[in-house]
Amino acid sequence: MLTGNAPPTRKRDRLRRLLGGSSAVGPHGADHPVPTSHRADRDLGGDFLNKALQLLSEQERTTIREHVLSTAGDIDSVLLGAYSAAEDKQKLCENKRWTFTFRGHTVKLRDEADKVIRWLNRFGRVGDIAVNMDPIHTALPWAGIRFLLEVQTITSPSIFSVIVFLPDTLQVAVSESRQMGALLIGLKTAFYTINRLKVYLDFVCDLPEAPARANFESSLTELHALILQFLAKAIRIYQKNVLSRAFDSFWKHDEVINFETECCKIGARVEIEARNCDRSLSKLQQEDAARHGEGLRKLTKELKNLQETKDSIDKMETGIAMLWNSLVEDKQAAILEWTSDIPYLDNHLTARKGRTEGTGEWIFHHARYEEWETSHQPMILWLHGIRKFLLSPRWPKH
Amino acid sequence: MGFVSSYSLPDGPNTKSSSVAGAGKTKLVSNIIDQFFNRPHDEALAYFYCNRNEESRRHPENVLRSFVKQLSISRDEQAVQASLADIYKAKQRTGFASARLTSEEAESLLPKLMQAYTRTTLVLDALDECHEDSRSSLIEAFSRLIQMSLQVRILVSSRRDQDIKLQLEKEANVGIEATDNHDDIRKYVLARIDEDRQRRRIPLSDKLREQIVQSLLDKSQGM
Repeated sequence: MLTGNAPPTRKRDRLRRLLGGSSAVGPHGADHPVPTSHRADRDLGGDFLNKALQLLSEQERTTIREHVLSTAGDIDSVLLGAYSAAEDKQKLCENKRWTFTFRGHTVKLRDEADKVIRWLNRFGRVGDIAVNMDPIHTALPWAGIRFLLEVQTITSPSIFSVIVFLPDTLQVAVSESRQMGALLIGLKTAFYTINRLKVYLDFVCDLPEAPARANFESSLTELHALILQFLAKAIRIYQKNVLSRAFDSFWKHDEVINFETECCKIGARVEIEARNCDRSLSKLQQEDAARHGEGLRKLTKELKNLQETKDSIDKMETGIAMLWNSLVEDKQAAILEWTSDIPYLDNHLTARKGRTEGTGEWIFHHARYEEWETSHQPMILWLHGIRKFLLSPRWPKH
Repeated sequence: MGFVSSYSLPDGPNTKSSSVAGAGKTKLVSNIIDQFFNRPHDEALAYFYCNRNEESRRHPENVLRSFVKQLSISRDEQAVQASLADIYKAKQRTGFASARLTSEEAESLLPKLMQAYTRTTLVLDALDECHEDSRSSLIEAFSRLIQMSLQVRILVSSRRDQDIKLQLEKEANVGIEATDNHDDIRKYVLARIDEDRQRRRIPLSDKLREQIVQSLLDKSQGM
């Protein structure tokens, strides 16, 4: 199913040169031979990966290395597995109607699972991996990501059996949904950040050598390392849980928030470095300026597309966007309140209160009502002369 | 008359009302509005219940303002339509932010707001409970809306007060004089008798029950 025979592009060569400085050996070392046709690509991703791995602790490094895959075929099938595991999770969240409070908002876990699925979909566009073995695909611990998505679904039944014996049943259930919420939101953030990273990488490998580029690269590596650290931590926690069958070492809500915040922070730095690169280039090479200006425009456009994808996937954007929306909503509410403060819906509910079942239906069959209701001409219908049916003692004399 | 009083329902909290459930036109209007809640997504509904016991619900300009508000809340989100926001901002700029939307402004906004929808339904209940000296302005406003040949249908319920009658007979395309609601009266009376029955030590006979219903139906004729 996998060909991978596409010759490395010029860009890839450049990227390889760019990233290949420190180590030419892949994450698994030389004793893990891979098909030659994939070698160049794998090394490319591997080199990029190695740079980020330098920033990790020994333990984190080991965890990531254990879960990085070396061939496009492996990645393909693992992605497929991750995808179907995510779908199972979505069903689980749906069935249990789990919710999770994150940054002051209640999120439905089913929706979060849906976002993870959509990002996975983006990674695994049919044929994408096999033909364009992207460095970013080889630079992620895909086996670990699948494991994260699969593990909780697998252990769910055992949680149920455990619940019977635990006095604090509710606590377990609440913890389980919290754990799931943290995982899904964390993965969603990781996937978005990885996609950003990929766009920047495309940009960086088109840039000529310059000091500004080195700064840019190192900020990219830092962002990559951040994602890996988060994934390594998650994988370790889950491995421990599976082994001990105990669910005592949940990661904390705060850790997901920190991860998200850090992603934003380093992401902003990357953005600045990208612009610095562009500025210094313009000074150095007048004739290339236009071309690189083009590159930056392309970068901006792609990032914007990505942001739009994110927005459509993730309508529950937190932070500034949220604040902005609520400001707009407040303003709208103020205008509406100023326009009229009569509680029309309340009045309606009061009016319909105590309506006798089945009464008032005749109007819908009245010829004149039907005429008014179905007409496409502007029309006024006057409803008059309905007997006011009064009870004694106000029964009218006649 | 005597018949009714001798079998009148016990004076509980539910039997004091003068406008009776199931037979009053307000109930009928609420039934119609309920139907419109299930309208297609791209159609608009605005309604207003006048009430002589609440001062704010007796002013024609409040009717129009409420219509503007309801039509401004777009069908997808709580987005205030731009034309309303513009007037608000203009008032704010000139230091009149606290001044209310005038009848004229509200009336001029309505056709603009209606353009956002394929069709608009306006329902006004109990026009006769609006202030006598100004309620004719509402009928005039409705009449102007109709003449703009917008996709709008308007339903007005009102007693046949002389001034309203004169105006509406001129403006309204169709009118319904409800004589078909015998069935409603019957249903209502039966429901109340059954309610009452449960509280009686000696139950009403079916024959007596039927007699009550018939008598009430006869006497309600021509009201």
